[in-house]
This record gives sequence, structure tokens and C-alpha cells, in this order.
Amino acid sequence: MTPRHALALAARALWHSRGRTLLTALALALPLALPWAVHRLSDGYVQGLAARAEATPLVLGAPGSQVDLTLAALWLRPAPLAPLPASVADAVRAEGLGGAVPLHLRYSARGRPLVGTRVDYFARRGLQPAQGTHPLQLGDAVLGAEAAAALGLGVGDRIITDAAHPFDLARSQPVRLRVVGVLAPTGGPDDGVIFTDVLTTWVVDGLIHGHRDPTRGDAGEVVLGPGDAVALDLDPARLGQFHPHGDLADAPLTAVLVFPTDAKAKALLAGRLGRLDGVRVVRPDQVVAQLAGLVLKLRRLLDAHQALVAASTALFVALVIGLGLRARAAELRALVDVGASRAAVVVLQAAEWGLIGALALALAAAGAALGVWLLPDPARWT
Amino acid sequence: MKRAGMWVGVWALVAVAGCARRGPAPTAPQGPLQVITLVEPMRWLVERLGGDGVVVTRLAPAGEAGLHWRPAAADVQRLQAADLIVLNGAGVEQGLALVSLPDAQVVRTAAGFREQWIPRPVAAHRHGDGPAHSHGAWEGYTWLDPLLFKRQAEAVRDALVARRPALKAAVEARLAELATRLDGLHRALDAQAPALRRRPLLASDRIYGYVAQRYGLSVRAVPLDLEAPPDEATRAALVAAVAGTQARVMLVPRLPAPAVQAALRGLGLEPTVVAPGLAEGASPGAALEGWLKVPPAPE
Repeated sequence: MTPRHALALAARALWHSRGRTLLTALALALPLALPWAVHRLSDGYVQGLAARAEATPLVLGAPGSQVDLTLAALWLRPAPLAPLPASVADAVRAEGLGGAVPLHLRYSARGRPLVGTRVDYFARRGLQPAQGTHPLQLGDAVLGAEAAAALGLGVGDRIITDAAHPFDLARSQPVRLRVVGVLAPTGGPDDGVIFTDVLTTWVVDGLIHGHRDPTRGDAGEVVLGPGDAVALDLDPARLGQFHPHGDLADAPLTAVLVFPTDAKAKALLAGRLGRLDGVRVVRPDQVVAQLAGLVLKLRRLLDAHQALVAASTALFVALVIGLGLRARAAELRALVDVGASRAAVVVLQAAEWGLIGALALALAAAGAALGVWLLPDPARWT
Repeated sequence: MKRAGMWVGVWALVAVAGCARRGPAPTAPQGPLQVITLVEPMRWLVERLGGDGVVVTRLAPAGEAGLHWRPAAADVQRLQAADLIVLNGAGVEQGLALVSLPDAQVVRTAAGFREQWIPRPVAAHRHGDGPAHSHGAWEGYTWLDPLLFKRQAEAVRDALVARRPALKAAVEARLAELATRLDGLHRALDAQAPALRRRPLLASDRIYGYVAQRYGLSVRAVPLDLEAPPDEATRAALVAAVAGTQARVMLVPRLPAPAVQAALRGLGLEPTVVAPGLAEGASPGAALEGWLKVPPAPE
């Protein structure tokens, strides 16, 4: 009997009992698919983390969890972080060793994170508008590609910020924003958020507001009447009435992204900025390495578990093969009786189990691919 | 009139000298640096130091000082595309305060001496029953203090060299020349200061705060329209100021109309042109030169 004949006979035998064949293949495929999918997802997660961290050399924040700070600053997720004064960004620039990009991550609009930053952020991340422009003035908003599609908004539309804190109604207040641009998709966390200038988020904070300008007169006290009501609709025609309510050097930021000019500047900045009062310097690559290490440890644990499952499965398969041979003893004897050699019978059985194994592998690969496709992008899990 | 002619002449000499340093744009490997400013002193300073290595655009339209001018959306796009935006800071360029500027390209030349900024008294206001407060403001015109202006020039030097290292030698040389002039101006003003301190000075505008701070002068601003004779309220304010300070000199940035001069002299005030460069199109160099000529207060 040639291998080809053996495979053909085995295939016919398996097809004859196709229900049992599929069940056996699935039983083998599941323990294979799970670790396969986990490896692919964890690899993507770690690579995504590392790429984002590599593009962001240093992050400044208030003292607290460096993991929370890194995840918020790099993946633009609102987080309960203590605020940092805006003057910290100026302090970074004053060092002359690199750029500083502020981030304000306290608010949202229609459920999407509202990211207050400066136009420098778009240059640093390579974010170009597919429609419209970057934010130009107070009240301008630019949508990430995925956020624009999900919200059904485009240039010229309006969007109102969400009431941020139910118990903080006295300060933060919803503001109507103008959509002036939609960014080209990047496949990263920038796609799912709404960008605005950090000044606009300070309007939501109540630190910038609009009424007629009392600074044009001499010193003295002016009581603003109903006609001077604070305006929260950032209509371009009224922007001239808006002004900071105090020194914006003290305005709150969630984080400051620092982009040193080179490795030496990075080391110098990390040292100098770390001496500022109330400022924590975080190296995202180190935080991400810790996170990746944790992921890999969990993966090893899962691998060990899967190895035990695989061993258990192998024992069950051996048992199934043994019971199968016993159940099919009469059939196998009949094959010998009609002239088949014992070797041919062994080859036939090996072909059957080889085909089941191949089917199990194919099902495992398909299952792993389906799992990776159905689960969200690991880069957005944070 | 004779004195005014002298100031105009001084300004013209300096302006011509400044223009003479400019030439056709060179074909530098990276091309000239595209620089945007809003106020005239910063335009003058960048052009003076950058020479042919820069192309300076003053974004505020002609006739607009730039202090309160708010850019339109198209102007903001130009700002976002510039290689460098040189601002004075310290309360100047108020129209840019709420604009989305690219911070990496922005240099605020007065930022390095924030502790010397002079707060400007502004009206307090209340919202409903809220507490009285003001929004804070600063006196501008830092460039009238020669030593502060030198520091602003150094900030411009740093910004230009950081973006175009090839310009370093030329920019340093131009800065050294300007610094020599500013140091000389400072020494001259310092020598005149004791005489100026004998009696308070009045001024038609609130532009002399930094000069007064540097040299310990007492300058009281009484807002005055230089083109129309003072109305009753202004006249009353001037009379009160003269009575209260015994001032004999009124500092003005340009020569007032004859009727205004006559009115001032009638009150015992001699209008004295200081800092003519504050007029549109003139240079702060001329303004500083003009300050040198301030006569001592009469005995």
C-alpha cells in the first residue's frame, strides 16, 4: 500500500464517521488555538507599547502612579491624576534642550476623551488633517479619524463637552466646540479622541471666560451686569471678550510630554526636571518595559498551564487511540483476513490520525486568527 | 520744532544705518529663516541680528501697533507654518494670548526677566455676588530699558542660532555691536539719571515704566491726545498732576500738534519727545537714541 492509497483510504474512513472526526479534531485544536492567540495578541500589545513609548522619551506629571501617568499621557485616557502647573512646560522649554507638549486629559465630549494640547502635538505625532485644519483658536476641535466616523461628525459641525464631574458643577462647565478638522487615520490611540487647544480645556475649567474687558480702564472696581454674562459658546465673533481668569502659568495640566534633542539632553533634562517641586519625571520606555515584563510573566504562566493541558490532552488522545483500536479490533482483523499486511494496517491508522492532527492544526490556526481579529487592537486596551 | 527735527534726524540716521545692513536674500543651503513678529521693535531686532539669514514678516497690518491685534484664522495658519515666531511677551501681543501657537517655534524675548516685569493696575470686577478680582496685566515696552533690551537681543540670538547654526558668527557679531551701543546708552542714561530724579516727570502715555524702573525716575502718566487740544477733563487732570508733582517736563513719543504744545506750555510743561521709535515704522534704536537727548528737569 502506497502512502497515497493509505491517505485516500484514511480520508474515506474519517469522512464516513465525520462527526466523530470533527469532534476529535476540535478537542485537539482548542488547546492549540488558545496559546497561539495569546502569543500573537501579547506580542502585538508589547510591540504597540514599545513603539509608543519609544516615540515619547520623557513624561512629566504630578507625583503618583507612574504607570497611570504613562498610560494616560501616551494613550490619551482620562485618569484621576493630580494636576501639574502649566509653568512646568515653560520650564522645560527654558532649558533649551528639547520641546515640551502639554496634555490636559480631564474632560470628554460625547463620551470621547477631550485632549487639550498645543499644535506641537500634531507635529510630534505626525498627525495631519485629512479635512480642515489643526485647531487655530479658542473653541476649535479636531477629531481623530475613528472618533469622527463613530460620532458622524465632520468639519463645520458642533460638539458639546460632557459635564465632567457631577459634584463639580460650580467650576467645570460644558462648552460648545467647533469641528475645524478631521485627522487622517493612524491606527493608534490618536484616532479615537477629540483634540482641542489646551486653552479651550481651560475654558471648561473656568480659567478662561468671556465678558467685556475691564482692563482697558483705570484701576477701580467694575461690577459686571447681566449684559456681561460669562459666555461659554465660543463663537468666533465673541472670542475678543475672552481672557484668562488669573495667571495661566498656574493652570492645570495632566502631563507634559518632553522631547529632548538627543540622548545627552534626555539625561540632563531627566536630572534637572526631577528636581522641580511637585514634578515626577517618568521614562515611558522603562514603564513599558515593566508592563511588558509583567505581560511576559503572565504569558509564561499561561504557557505552563497550557503545557499541562497539552499533556493531559495527549494522554486523552492516547487513551482514545487505544480505545479506538480496541473498538475497531474486528474491523482491523477483517483487513488482515482479506490480505492486508499488519504494516499496512498500522500505516492506515497512522494516516487517519495524521489527517485528524492536520485538521486540528488548521482549526487551531483559524481559531487563533479569528480570536485576534475579533478582539480589540491590543494597542487600545489601555 | 528744532528739537523735533533733531529727533527725526537721529531716527532717520539709525533707520538708514539699519537698512544699510540689509541686502539681497542669499542662497543659503537651508534658505533664510521665515520669522514672524507682531510688534515693530521685535521686527527691527530680528532683522538687525539675523541680517540676510532671515526673512521677517510683521504680521500685524500697517498702522496697527500689534498690542491688541487679533489674528484671523488665515493669520494663525501663517503663524503655525513659520520657522520662528518672535514675541516680546510681558503683556505685549495680547491678541495672541488665546491663539493656538506652535510653542516650539515661539520665543518670548522678555520671558527671561519675568521678575522685572511691571504689573499694570487694572480695574477689578465681580461676577454677580462673586469676589472682586482682576485678570492681571503687565506693562509692555520693555525694549525702552537698554539692559532689558540687550537681554531680549540675546534671546533672539539664541533662537536664531539654535535654528540656523551656520548664522552663529554673523549673529554674534551683530549682537556684539548692538550690545556695545546699548551699554553706552545705559551709561549715558545712568549719568543723566540723578538730574532727572530731582523732579517728577509727566508722560502722555504709559510707556516709560521700564525706563523709570531702571533709573529710579518718577514718571506719572496722564493720558493725552497729541493731536487735539486737551478737553476740560484732561486739562483738569494735567493741572492736578502739575500741582501734585511740580513737574516741568511732559514726555511724549512724538511732537504734539501746535495747539497741544501751546496748552502744555500754558501749564508750565515742556513737551519733550522721547522714544520716537514708538511711532509706526520707526525703530526702537531710534527710540533709545531719542531718550539720550532728554534734558535734565529745569531747576
